[in-house]
Amino acid sequence: MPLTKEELQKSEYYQRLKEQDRAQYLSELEQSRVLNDSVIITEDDNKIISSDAQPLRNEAGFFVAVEDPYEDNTNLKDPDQLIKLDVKTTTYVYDPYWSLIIDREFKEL
Amino acid sequence: MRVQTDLTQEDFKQLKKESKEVLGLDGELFPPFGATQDFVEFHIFDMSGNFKERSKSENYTLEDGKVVLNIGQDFRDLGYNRGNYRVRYFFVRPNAGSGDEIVLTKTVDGNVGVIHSGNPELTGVPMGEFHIDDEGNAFVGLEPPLEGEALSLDIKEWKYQINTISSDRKEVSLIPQIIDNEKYKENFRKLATDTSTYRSIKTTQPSNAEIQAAIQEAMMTGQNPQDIIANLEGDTGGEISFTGPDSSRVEFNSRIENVDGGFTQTMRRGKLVVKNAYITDYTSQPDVKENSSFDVEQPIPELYIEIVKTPGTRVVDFQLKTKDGGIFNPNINAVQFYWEFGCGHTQEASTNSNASHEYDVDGNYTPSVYVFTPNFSEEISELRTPTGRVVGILDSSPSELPPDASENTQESQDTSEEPLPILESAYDGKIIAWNGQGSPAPFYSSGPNRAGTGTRWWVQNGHTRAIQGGVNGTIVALRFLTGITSDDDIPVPLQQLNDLRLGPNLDSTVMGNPLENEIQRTIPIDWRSPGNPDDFQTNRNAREAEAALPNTFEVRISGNVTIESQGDPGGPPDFNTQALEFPEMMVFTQINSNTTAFETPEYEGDEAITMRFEEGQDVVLTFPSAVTLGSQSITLAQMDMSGGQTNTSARTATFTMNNDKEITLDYGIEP
Repeated sequence: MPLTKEELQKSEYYQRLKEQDRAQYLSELEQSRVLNDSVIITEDDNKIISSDAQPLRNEAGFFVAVEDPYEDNTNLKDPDQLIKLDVKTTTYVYDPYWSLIIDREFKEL
Repeated sequence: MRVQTDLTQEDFKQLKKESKEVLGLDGELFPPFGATQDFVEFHIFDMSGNFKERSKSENYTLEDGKVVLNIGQDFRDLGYNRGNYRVRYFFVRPNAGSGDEIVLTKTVDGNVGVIHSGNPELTGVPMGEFHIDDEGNAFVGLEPPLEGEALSLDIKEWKYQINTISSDRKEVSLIPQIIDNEKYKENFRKLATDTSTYRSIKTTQPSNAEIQAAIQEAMMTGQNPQDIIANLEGDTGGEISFTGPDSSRVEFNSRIENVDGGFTQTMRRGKLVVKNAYITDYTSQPDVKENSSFDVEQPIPELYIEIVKTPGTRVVDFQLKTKDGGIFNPNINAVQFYWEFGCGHTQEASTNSNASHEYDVDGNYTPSVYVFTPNFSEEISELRTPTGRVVGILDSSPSELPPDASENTQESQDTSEEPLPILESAYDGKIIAWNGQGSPAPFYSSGPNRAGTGTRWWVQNGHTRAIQGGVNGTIVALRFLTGITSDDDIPVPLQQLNDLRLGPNLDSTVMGNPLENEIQRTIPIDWRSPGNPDDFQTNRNAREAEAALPNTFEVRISGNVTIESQGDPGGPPDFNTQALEFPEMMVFTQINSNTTAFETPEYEGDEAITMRFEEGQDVVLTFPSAVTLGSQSITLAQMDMSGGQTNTSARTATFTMNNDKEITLDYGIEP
C-alpha cells in the first residue's frame, strides 16, 4: 500500500533503509576521498577533509559533485567540492603587434 | 591550460605573454573582475557537447585572489541532481545593456521611445508612474483613468539588438532599439570605440539638451560627435600647462572641483593627445652637457703600508699612507683596495685603505695591497713602522707585552734596527705652560712662532705638544679625557721648558685619528725625521742657541800688487800686476779693527781674507802700509770699497755693517 511522505517519515523501515543508504553513501564518499588523498587522520583517529584538498574526481578525471546527505538539493561545501581559479590569466600582446598576427578587418556582415 | 579561443595555435604562441596577469589592475579593463556589474555565467552541455542551458552563478566567491566556484550547487540550483555533464564558465563584465532590466517608453510630441519609467541608475531619469492591465500591457498612471484611455507604454528590454550575423558566425552587427535615452545611446556609441576621452572642465558645461542637439547634428552630417561637442564647449574646457624640469609634466591647472573628476584608473597607460598644438618657438639643447666639476684623475701617489702589531698576538694592523705620513683614504667607491696578507688570506676589494689581520702561525710575510682607481692601479708592498723605518718583511710572531703594557700600547714591528730611545720627563702626562719669566719666549712648536703664557702643551715622552685651543679646540676634550683642569696646569720655567723636545701638535686632526690614540701613542725622538735622533727642529735648546746668534755680515778683503819688472833695458818700463796673496804677504793679524770681529777672520784660499761683524756695528779697519814681496817692501797705493769709505793715506776703510762688504787693496804702483 503506497505511503504518503508524512507516513514515510514515520516508517521505521523507511528510516532504517534511508540511514543505511546514507551510511553507504558516506562510506563511498570517504573511500573516494581517501583515494583522492584528501583525508587527514587526526590524533584521535578522526578523519577530516584537508583544507587544501584537490577537487574530488572519479577515475576518468571528471569532477564529482556530492550532495549533502543530510540536506536535499544542497551540495557539500567541503574544500574538495570547490573549484578555485586564480584570477591571473593568460594575457596577450595588443596593439600594434596583434594587428600583424590577426586579421581584424570586417569581411562581411 | 590554454583557454579555448578562436586563435590558431601559432597565433596564440605569437601573442601570448609569458607570465599570467590580473586583468584590469589599470587601463581600460579597470577594475579587476568582481566589480558591481560583473557576474559569472555558466553553460551546461551534455556529454556529446550539446548545449542545454545557461545561467548566472550565485554560488561563487572571491577569496585571496581566487575565484571559488561551487559547481555542484550551481547545477543543483537548476534542478540537476545526478548525471554527467559538461560545463563552461564565463566571467562577464557587461559593456552595455542589461539582461534583466526593462524600461517603459512612450511617444511624446512625435518623439518615439521616450523613457517613462525604468531603473534610474540605467536611464538617468526618474521613474514614472504606471499600471499594468490584466493582459500585461502597461499604461501611464497608477490606475486607469475614470474617463478615456490611458496612454499606453511600450515594454522594452534594456538591450541592443543583433542586426546581422555573418555566415561564418564570427561577426555580428548590433543596432540600438528605439529608446530615446542619452545613456542608452552613449553606451551603444562606446561599444564601437576603445578610447575614452577626458575633458578638463573649468567652467559650466553645455546643457544636456545642447549636447543632444549637437550629437544629432553630428549624426546627420557624419561628423565626429566629440568634435561637435568640443566646438559647443568653446573655451569652457580646462587648461593644461607643461611644467616641471624640462617641461616633462602636464598639469591641469584649472578644473571645477567636484565636477571634473580628473583622470581615472581606466586611463592609465593611455595616450594623451593634444589637438591643434603648434610649435611656436624652440631652443635646441644638446643631450650632453659638460661636467664643470670634472677633474682629470691624478696618478696614484707614492704610498707605503704602515704596520702596527698588537703586542702578545699575531694581529697586525695595516694602514696605507702617503710618503709624507698622511693617511691615504679617498673613501669613495671609485677607489678600491684589495689586501693580500702574504699568508694566502685576502680582504675583498673595498674602499678601506686600512686592514687588520691575525696570522695563524708565526712566520715572515710580505703583505701588499692593490690600489684601483678608475684609470690607474698599483700594487703597494713597501712596509714601514710607525716611526717610518722601512721593513723588508713582516714577522708575525707575537711580541712580548711590556710589564706595564696597556691595551693601547703600540709596538712597531721593526726587524732591521733597534728603535731609538724614548725620552722621558717628569712632565709626561701633564699640561704645562710657560711661567712668563725670561726671554725669549719658548718656541710654540717646530715652526718659527713663539709661544705666550697662554700656550698650553701636553707633555708626552719628553715632548711638548702644542694643544689646539678655543671652544672647539682639542684642549676641551683633552681636559675631559685627563681630568686636568686649568688650575692643574703647571707653570714651567723657561729653561726647564727648553730642556723638553718639541713634539707634534695636538690638534683636532690627529685627535680624531681612529688608528692611533694620540694622547697615549709613543712619540720617538725622531718623530719628525725618522732615523735622525738629533733633529734640529725638535731640539728646543739647539734652536734657542741658534736663535741667540746675532745677525752678521761678511767683509771680504782682496788685493793686487803691481810692480815694475825688468824689461828691455833700452825699451819702456814693464809693469807686472798679480793678485795679493794671502796669508804670505799679509796676515789677518796685520788688519787692525776698532771692534772685535764676531768670529776669527779666515782665509779664502790665498785670494782673500774674510771677516764677519754683527749687524749694525760701525767698523774702521786699518790695513798695513806695506806688504813684503820677497825682499821688497811694497806700499799701499789705493783702496776700493763697496758700501763704505776708504782713506788710502790713512789706510782705513770705514763702514756700517748692514750688508756684505768687498774691499780691494792695491799695493805698489797705482794701476
